[in-house]
Amino acid sequence: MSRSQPRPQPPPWRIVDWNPPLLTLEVAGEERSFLLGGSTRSPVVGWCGQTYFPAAAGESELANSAGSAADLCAPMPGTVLEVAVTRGDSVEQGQLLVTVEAMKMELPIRAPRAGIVGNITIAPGDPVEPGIPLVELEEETP
Amino acid sequence: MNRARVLVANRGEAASRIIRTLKRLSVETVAIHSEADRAAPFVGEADVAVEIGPAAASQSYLHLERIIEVGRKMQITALHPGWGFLSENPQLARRVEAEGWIYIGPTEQQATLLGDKTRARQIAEGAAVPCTPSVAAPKDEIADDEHWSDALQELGTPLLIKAVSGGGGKGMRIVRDAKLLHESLEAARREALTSFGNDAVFVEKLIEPARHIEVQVLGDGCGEVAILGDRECTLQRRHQKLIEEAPAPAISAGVRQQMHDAARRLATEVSYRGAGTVEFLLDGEDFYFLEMNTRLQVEHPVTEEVFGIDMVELQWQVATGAGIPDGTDHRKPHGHAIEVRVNAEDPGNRFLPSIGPLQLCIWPQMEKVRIDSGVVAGNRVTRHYDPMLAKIIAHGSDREEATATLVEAIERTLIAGVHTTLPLCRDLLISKDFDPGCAHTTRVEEAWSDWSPPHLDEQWCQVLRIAARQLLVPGDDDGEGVTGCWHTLPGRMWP
Repeated sequence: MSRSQPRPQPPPWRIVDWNPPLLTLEVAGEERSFLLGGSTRSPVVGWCGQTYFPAAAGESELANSAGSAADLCAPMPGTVLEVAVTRGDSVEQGQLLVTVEAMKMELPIRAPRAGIVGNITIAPGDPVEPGIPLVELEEETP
Repeated sequence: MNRARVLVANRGEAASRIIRTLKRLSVETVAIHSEADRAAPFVGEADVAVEIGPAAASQSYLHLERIIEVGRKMQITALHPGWGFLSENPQLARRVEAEGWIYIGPTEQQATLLGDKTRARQIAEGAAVPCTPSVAAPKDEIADDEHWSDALQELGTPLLIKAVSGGGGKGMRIVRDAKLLHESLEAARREALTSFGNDAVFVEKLIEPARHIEVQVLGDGCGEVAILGDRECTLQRRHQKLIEEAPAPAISAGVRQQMHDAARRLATEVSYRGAGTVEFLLDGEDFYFLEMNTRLQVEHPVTEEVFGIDMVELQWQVATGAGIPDGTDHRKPHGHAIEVRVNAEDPGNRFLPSIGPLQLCIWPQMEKVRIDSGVVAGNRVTRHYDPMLAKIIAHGSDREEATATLVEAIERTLIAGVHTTLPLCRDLLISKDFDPGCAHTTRVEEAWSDWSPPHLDEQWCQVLRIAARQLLVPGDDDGEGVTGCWHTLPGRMWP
């Protein structure tokens, strides 16, 4: 994802129409309509109802590739409702580990794979922030 | 008599919508808001706004005592509950009327009876409205496990667990595997307790595949009831509606009439007062009573668009004793209207709520497109409230035209700062699943769970970066990332 190398020249393109915020572009013979907002440094693009940040290309791909550690984190700030396992438990893939409450919804955190429950850093009632694993999951020793 | 002054006991899009009509009717409005909503548009739209408490709903929009206190201090004459929050809490109606104010909604007794799903079913059965087979909660808690095992035996799977005082999908669980019955019951109970303060649940046979069709009713409280057509709200996920339309397509005239008649019988049975919605599940030509919502619904704009009416105005007329205006009943819908909900959720990642500051919020300005929004750029989407930010409603001479207009409206909407359900809804609208009568209520969960937004490849990103440098103005790089001249373009305000 390094941007240190100079970018290749863009393909032939032109602005077909700019009626803010509606922008129609033609790139390599193909025409598409976008919404363009934001600033020169941080443009925001709307396409098909989705929002893109072309200045930060690559970020969305990174955010989408959730590793197994991310699967053990709360997806958003909330409160621990229930811890369904204890240290040393052997769990199967998909088994409920922790239930977090956020935005009045119960969000189950399930085991992304089989394993042994390690350290548990939270208890019911604890506030949680995204990005911090709630439960450690160790490989099962054969 | 003093000038009418209405307290709007709600927030966001609902409060804005209600205030809009009341202002048009020259009725004074009092908004209540939490600390988190100081910058929300509805606060400025009301004639007076009172900060009622901290962000947590239990300390603000659900705090009945504080709401009554504000009403006294502001010398209100009426209260509109909106939808969600306290709108289906019979205590609100009771307390408001005890103060001598007008409650814009059903009576305490009606809200109690119809809000209790078990009793609502009994009333429906009494009014010859078809119901699904079900088993009520046990009377004796000790026999709990045995009771539910018997229910499982009687109804078989799949089952649907519902909160007795539920709504909006909270406290609801589907049980397909009998082994999960216990776990699901407990989860439903917990959710019901936190959402409604009552952990009673019941189970019913799950009708699937089914379409969700609902009938809009308006009662004057003296036995007269008007039917304002029907809506289809089949496209949902986790029992939260995504797309709604009026009238419901692909229903035979006979079945439509039967549903309208059933809704009329139910509302008449209780001499219903105010606006309400009778919800049905439709399986082929058979329909079953789901519940009656004793309030205005989120999706009421599609009904307003096809009938050219204002539901809040009708609520006001009925509540103030002016009765149901002539010509309200038996109206013919004009064209077709479709609504998408703009929810701050990530449809590419299990619909997880998405929170943060709204950096950009640009709505389309189009003929036949109505935007009911509760936010502007700069507002912060928090985890304290429902994720719905706004609704986009398109009206057309027929369903195809309304669909095309709505798709275009979505493509002309730009929201930055949070994920929204819009790109998924756009893809749904142009898919086969939106063909008339094709979808069923679990279709989105089954077929759209691995949906991802269209990929914008590097070639286009590169060109867009260059175009942005040429077309946009430099922002003051303040760390929020997005500034510039297009953040606050308004949509068409309605009416």
